[in-house]
Amino acid sequence: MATTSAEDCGKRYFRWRQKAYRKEGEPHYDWDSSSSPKSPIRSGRDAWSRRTRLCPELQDNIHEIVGGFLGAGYNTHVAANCESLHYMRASVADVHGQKLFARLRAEKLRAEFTALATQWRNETKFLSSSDDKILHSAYQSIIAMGAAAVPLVLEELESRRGHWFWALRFMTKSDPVPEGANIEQAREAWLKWGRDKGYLK
Amino acid sequence: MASIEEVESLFPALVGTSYSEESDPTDTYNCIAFAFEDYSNWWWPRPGYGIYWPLGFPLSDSVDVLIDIFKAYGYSECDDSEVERGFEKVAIYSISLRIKHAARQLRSGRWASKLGEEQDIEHEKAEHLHNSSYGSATHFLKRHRADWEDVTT
Repeated sequence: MATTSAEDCGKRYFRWRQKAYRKEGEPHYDWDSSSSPKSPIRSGRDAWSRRTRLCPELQDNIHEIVGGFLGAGYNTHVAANCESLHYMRASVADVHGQKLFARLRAEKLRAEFTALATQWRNETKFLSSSDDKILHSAYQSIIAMGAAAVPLVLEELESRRGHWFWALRFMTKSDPVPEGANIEQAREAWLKWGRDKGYLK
Repeated sequence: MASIEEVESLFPALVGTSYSEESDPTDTYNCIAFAFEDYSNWWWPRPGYGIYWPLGFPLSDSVDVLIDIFKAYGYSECDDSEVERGFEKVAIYSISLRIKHAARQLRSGRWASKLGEEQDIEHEKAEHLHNSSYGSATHFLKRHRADWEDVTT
């Protein structure tokens, strides 16, 4: 049976989940016990998995999306109002789910990204011309990877440094670098941006 | 840090000369900043990405622009890289009149260069860094240094 891409799985998952949550009067099931065979979330999840023919990588992570993310940090709220808890957790699942899908998309690009980043670093490290650096074919290829590769660029910036600011600006359509910042300040601004967005720990 | 093999492979004219590595690699500043003794900024005419370029100068990598910046710092154009008593010199390397590298002469008469994101080196002559990436040292400027009047070569 054919499988769907991680991105398509993600979209279907969110569509399914949003529809499920809109139902009024749904039992306040316990997210943390979603592994129970009788759990409504589990039965719904399994039905959705069958319908959408989950890609293997997402199948591996689905339990984490649905339940695991909502573990330790949120158990302290169990005594709170059940309805509030339900929506709070739905919101949290949304954020974490999006982060996971971003990570899954990035992982698919990792090998290609690593090869291109290595090539770019080796072939431009002696250059002072920023134009020559950013016009290098490997750098341009990384920009062309688009938003999906942003977590990888940020990891590279964090671990090996490098002038990734042009690429990040084009790939994210953002620019957190304050006017007049130098390289160190630009790097810190991007790393903070990456942490705020959940791309970096 | 780039190995000796890498450096000599990229700059073959260094082979057999007395050059030395003077710093660890850093992407904080580049050769142009280094020529101005600025160790906190990467100079290039693309400000806004963590890059510095002096205000009031065109955002162009034309050699003429860099010459004007050096002049604003007290330099004037000169003919060559030869040591002149009482003067500090800088060299601009270019390809098709586009800036590719800059180096400055030391009190000793040797030259100092920052190699991109790699280390600073001292080298005997400006032309020892000629290659396909840096082009050649095409323009020279000098400025008076009263404290270098006693230098003899």
